[in-house]
Amino acid sequence: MDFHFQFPYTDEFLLQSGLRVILVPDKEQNGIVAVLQLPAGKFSDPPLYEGTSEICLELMQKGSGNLSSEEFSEKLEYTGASLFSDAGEEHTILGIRMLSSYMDELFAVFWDMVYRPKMDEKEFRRIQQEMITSVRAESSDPGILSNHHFYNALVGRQHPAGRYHTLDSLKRISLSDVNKFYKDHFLPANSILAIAGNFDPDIFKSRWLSLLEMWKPESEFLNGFAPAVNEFKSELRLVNKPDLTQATIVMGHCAPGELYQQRNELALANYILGAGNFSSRLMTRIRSMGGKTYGISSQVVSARYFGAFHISTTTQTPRVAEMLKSIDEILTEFCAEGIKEEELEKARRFAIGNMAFQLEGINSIAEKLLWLRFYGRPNSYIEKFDVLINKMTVEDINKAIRACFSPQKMITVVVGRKNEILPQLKSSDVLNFHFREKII
Amino acid sequence: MLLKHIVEQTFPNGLKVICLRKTGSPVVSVQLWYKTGSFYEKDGIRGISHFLEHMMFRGSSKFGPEEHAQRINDVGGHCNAFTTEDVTVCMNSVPRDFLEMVLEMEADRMDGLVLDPKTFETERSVIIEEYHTYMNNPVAKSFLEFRYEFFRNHPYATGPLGKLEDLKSLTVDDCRSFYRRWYSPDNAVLVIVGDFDQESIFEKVGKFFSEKKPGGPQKSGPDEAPVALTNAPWMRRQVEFDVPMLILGYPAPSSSHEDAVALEILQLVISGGESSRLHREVVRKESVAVMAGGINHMLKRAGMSMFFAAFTPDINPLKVEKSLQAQIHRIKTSGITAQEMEKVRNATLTSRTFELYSAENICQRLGFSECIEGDYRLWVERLELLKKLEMDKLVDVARRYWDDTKKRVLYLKPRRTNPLLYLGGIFRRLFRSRKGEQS
Repeated sequence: MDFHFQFPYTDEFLLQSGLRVILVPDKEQNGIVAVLQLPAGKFSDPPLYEGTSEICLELMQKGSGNLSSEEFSEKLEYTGASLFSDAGEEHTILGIRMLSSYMDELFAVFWDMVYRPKMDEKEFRRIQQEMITSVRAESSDPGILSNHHFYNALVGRQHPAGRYHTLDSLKRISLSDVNKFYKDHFLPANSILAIAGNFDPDIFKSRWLSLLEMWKPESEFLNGFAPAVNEFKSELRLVNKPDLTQATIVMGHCAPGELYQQRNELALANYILGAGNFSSRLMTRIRSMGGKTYGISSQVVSARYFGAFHISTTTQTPRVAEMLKSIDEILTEFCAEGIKEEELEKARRFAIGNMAFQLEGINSIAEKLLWLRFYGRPNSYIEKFDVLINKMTVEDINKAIRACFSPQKMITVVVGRKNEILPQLKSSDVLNFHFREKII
Repeated sequence: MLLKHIVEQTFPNGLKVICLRKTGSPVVSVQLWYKTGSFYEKDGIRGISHFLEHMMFRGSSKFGPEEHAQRINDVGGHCNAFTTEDVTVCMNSVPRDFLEMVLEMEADRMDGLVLDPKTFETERSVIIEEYHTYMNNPVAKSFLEFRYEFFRNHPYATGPLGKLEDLKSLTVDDCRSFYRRWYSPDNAVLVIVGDFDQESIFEKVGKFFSEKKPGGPQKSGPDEAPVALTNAPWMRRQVEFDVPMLILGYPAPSSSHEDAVALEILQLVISGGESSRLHREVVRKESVAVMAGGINHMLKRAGMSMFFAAFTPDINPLKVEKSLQAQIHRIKTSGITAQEMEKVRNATLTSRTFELYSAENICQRLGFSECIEGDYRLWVERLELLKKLEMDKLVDVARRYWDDTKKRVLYLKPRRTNPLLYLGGIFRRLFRSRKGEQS
């Protein structure tokens, strides 16, 4: 399958501060999106102060320059603009969607928020309370609980991926901690600003370049990239939630990071195993043929150097042991026998064809450019993506499977009714064969 | 402007086709909207439309089980489906070269669905798993109970998820008969948006759909009883959820009613974003809630205008209710400001602008307006409608629909309240008010 995509004209430059700017003019609609990617995220939270980066990101959006929080939100919302943000693990996204007719008025407000946020004490307290409430709500969500337990069991609290915000960590954070985080991590060096939509790049540069340059580093850039973990271990953790009739299961192990050379081979393998929805082996055998779940999928989540492979599903409480056994059988077979040419061909076609959707609209194009630059990749990486994918062979994929998947050493987390699940685990061969019992 | 690019045609068998060519990306979205959903179900078969939505992926005369989804995945596309009270929608997005493949598969499952008993049983297990996924979420479960009470005796009382006992007892024959009655070209709308050849689009659709037989004139649903409100205006549920929440609901008009747009504007003013009245007053100024918001749940025949707040355990829910109501009351007495009206117009224009970048979003909007609101042009003309609305009309709508005698409240009380949390909240508030006095 071929794919012919060429990025639209872009004007890209690096400022002295280290900020990379990418301008993507596009006249399709009268919208503009500006997205800033900051080079630090949750992995940069100081130990015991998890949640600092998220509070910082929220607080930045509550007033800037001379505008109070109320004035700030009115200025944006009354013109129909909206902010969006995402606190990632190794980077943080902050963006604005607006009508092009308000660009002059709103870009200044947006940029003020980036380089001189208000960081108001009262707003800080409100956000802190809001996040504490969210954490309380999350404690009822078996999906979130299982993920937290999984990463905690996978790498422990010594590794940034094993730490997550808690009531205690949030309460410990003060405004000065947040300000320090902002000064230490949200810096122009290694940040990328992409602006896409209906505007003229020359006018933009003449009007805004001096303002962009006013964001200057106040300290040296400290990266927050999580180190790779190569250790594989077995553990089964059962988290008791007596109110649930359905159990949530997450199982997996560490994987290579985004910069791993065979990252695309791994992605194709994962598509065949569990990311390919109804085309995947897990979905076909466990849902379509077995009716044991509403959904099952596998993911390879990766930061620069650190990654994790995991399979997630839910099933009714009496079926937990049966489900674990089924997953184990499929994964073991997948690793032992590898994939077939026919499966690879379908995975290739999906990867290539799907790229068109990943580049639909200015939002998607801006985000893709940020992704490319963050990992140091040129535009041609996407433009020649089909060539890259089409040259992969079954042997390449099977080699990546053998190198990266290990069904014998898995972390398994089950959230559900302990008194009904534990006897199942004890009476089946699940525990004896693969797992070490550890119940908390 | 947008309207003139939309082309439509109704085939002799009753299938309406709405197309918009959009060439920014080499993709096309195809959605088939069947005008049937849980509203058309009766006791004993509650959940059948959602069941059939699942069976739509389990094979048709020319395609095997899951082949529909697999073929679409194999070319890089994606597909899904959803069921609401009023419609069942099959959604597909593919690279532009595969439009015909999608049309052929959609057409085949319109009248050639295979209801194999063995597959039917497997899918029943999947659907029961999905049912439990919702019911294991304490907030979703309580909301479904609230909605059941709110729409008591109305066909909207039970939503698309259905009833567990019915899901367990539904038969292949039940599904076959429901399928034959409701899934036909004269009860469907096909929406196509994307990079296709406009000259040949109706010919392509006709190639696969023109021979489909209409289902006949029996497309009336159950009797439309007016929404009969529960006698219990205040419900309290103890839940395994650590955050107290309050939900207020008022009966609202159907989405095609002339008051629907006005109520949408009012909802945006009261709850849209950080500059909204609920956020400014209830969250920031009075600090009785950690978050507060609202939404109009507008269906084809009736609706619910809702407000909600999450708060800390030390706050009395009656105080939260009073605070939410004070803002509603202010609008009923004083209306909204010109600046707020401008905010709504701009927000609508921005969201329209960004919707237009995605073929799938446009499909969704056109299908919704055509099948729920009654005419796809309503989505296109929404901006013009907003400009024409006058303040008197808005106040009148607020007074008629946000009628306190018809209000229903649900309070979600955490089953376990940690006494330390409770005391902590009181001390924090005391400390904060003293600090306020000093300054």
